[in-house]
Amino acid sequence: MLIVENLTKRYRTFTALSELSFSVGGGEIVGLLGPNGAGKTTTLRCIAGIIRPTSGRVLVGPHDLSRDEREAKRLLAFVPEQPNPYETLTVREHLRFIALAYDTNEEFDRRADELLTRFDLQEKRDELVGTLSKGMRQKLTIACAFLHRARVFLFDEPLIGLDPRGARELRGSIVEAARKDGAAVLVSTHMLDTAQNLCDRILILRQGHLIAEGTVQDLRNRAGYGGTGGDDATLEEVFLSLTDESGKANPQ
Amino acid sequence: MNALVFLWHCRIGNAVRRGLRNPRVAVPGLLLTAGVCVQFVLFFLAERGAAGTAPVFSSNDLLMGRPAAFLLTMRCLLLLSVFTGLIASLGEGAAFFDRSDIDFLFTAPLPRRFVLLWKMTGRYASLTVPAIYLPITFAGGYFADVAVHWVLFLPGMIGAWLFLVMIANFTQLLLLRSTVTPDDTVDRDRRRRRWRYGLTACFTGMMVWVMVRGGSASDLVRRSRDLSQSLDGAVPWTRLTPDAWAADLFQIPFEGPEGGDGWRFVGLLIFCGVSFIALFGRERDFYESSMEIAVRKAQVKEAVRNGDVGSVLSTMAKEGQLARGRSFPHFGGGARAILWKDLVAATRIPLRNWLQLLIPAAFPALLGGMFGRENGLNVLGWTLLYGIQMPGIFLMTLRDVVRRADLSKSLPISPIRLLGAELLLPLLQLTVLGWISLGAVWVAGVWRGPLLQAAALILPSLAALLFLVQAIFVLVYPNPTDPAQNAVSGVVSLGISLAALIPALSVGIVLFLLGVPVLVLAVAITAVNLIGATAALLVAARCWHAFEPSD
Repeated sequence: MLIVENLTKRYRTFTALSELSFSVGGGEIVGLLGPNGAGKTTTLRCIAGIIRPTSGRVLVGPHDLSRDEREAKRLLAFVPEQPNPYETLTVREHLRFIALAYDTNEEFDRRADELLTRFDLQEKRDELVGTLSKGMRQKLTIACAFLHRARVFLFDEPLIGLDPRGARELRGSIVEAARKDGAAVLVSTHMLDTAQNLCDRILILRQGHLIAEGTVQDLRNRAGYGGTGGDDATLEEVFLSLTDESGKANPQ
Repeated sequence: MNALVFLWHCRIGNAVRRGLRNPRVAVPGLLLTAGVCVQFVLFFLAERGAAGTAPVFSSNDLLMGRPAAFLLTMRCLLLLSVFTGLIASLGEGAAFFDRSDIDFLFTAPLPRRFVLLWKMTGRYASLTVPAIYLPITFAGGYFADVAVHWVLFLPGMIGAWLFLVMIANFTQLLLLRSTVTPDDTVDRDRRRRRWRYGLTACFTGMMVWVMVRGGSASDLVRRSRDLSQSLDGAVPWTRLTPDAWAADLFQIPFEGPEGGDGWRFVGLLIFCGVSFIALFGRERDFYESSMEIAVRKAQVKEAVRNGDVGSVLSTMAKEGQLARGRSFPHFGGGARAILWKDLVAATRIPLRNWLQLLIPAAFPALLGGMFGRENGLNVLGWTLLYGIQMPGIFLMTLRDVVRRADLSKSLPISPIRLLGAELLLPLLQLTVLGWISLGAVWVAGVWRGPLLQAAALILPSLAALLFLVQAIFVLVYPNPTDPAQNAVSGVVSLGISLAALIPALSVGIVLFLLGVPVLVLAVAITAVNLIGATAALLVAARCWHAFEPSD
């Protein structure tokens, strides 16, 4: 569903992403991990069509993002790290705007009500976005992402700022979108326990390079935790081992 | 496109509704609107009364036969718009995508051209205001003439609008070309800043030159006209530039339409079209550059609107603009600790930021240079206006206190002492700046009479009065992110500030008429101002006591 081939983003002398290649299939949830400045947000922004890669290509379903941008974007939903919905719209108007922008105005009322209820926004439906708390804005941004039945979801630190109920709803929605609707989900997060429980596969970036990819068990093996006793290693231990440049944390 | 129209409709509608529902915004807003309407009606009635039931337009009546000065002013203003546009495009003033646009518009399946056009359309519409406002304002005292005979000025206004649109397109293009990217932020930003400072220095230099040369306004207009005519004669192509065409269209009310006017329109349309194509030809590139600049601009803008001095300073620190500053030994607890904190923070502000404040401070002297050294009362008028406007800059400190109300209100300091301590340093800064302003007037020889000395004596108490009165409005209208509340609080606080001056002015006029010596007059006015300032501080302290962070 989502194919990224040799994605490179260069800013003059600085290479933010280098020859990044991976894919996310329909029904799959993939975690994007990496230390600060590894290039996770840049990767998501390139896929979302906000910034243009220096080279490489992004395929969303059958559509090449650089050639067929609008059709590719119809299939995409992006939830940024910082929620920035339009403050002078009401919650419901914001959802309406997204529905219009994505040409999915049919069944809007039913769909909007469903999302407002799911994300605990029903009481706030006629309130201005500017009056909402940060967590509520985050929920609205997430609701917007689920409104147009995207085929590829991109989440950048989606759980930050959410209350426990909201976080559970979001995890449930992500799983439902992948398992039931067959969408591809790419989640960038620093919450390693969430990644371990939620994701089918993990991608680890460091300084713009993809340094590891696979299931948690694959990564354990890669990090040298495989074999007797190593299966209990948490993703945190594996991550620290793989991203430690000095190699001190590596059990091998 | 439906989505963009819907977005526009909702945003404007909600802003109006929100304003109307809030009595603190609605009541002053309605009064203001009524005042403007009454003013317009009076203008029209006066015009009809003067000319009978059928007003007859005469070019001799209009502007007292000063079309040349008027046309020259229009051309200078159009050229000034090029200059300010350049500065804006080298800064971040021309970036207008906000973070919501980036998250929701840039990721939506909307054609990029539509997104850009949607934003530019708003800008094009806003340019109608200066296109209409410029001729009306700069027709001097003949506002009514231009207002009534606006149809005759319409070609000039349309020409000015086309010119401004062209400049907006080109400056936007320049902004996108020069936009920073993450790897070269510091270097390019530094270069852009140098260009910006260079242009500003040129402009200031021109103003200083005007001041030093002195002379009256009429001399200045005559000299400028001579210069313009000799330039046009020696270099004929200067008559073939868009600014000249746009300015020439303002001749129609005076000399009637002529054959060349049509060509001028065509020329302006062609230039406007070229700028449009040049800007929209880059539609594939503008998302990324817009994003970089919008994120930075949003951070600074939000911090400034919130009066969040801390965020402004931390942004400056990140960009290497913050000075290392000094650290003073503290001098006591309670309210004195607040004063110590503000004093230390003030030393972190780079010198160039303080120097920028000198530009408005130098204005009375510049104004005196332009409009005649003999007319000190003009300078006095400007000084008053300046005294009313300048506290806004220093009130950022108070906005920061309001924003951190959770912390500030939990301190074991009484409201009056806390406010007094927080406002003392900005008040001192405002006073010193005022003295510098008066000093410039004296040095430039614009005005050296005894009233200048009296003004210097009165200034601290005047600053205290105006500053504390405006502080009340920061506490009553605490939400600076609400544009309606912000605008109304600005208008209301201006009105109340003017009203607060009435007692001192009355005392001053009475004593002046009685022939009291200037020194006594200054002491009396200072006393009246101090009484007003004390009352304002008490009211502000009460407002602060009642203020709740959730307001």
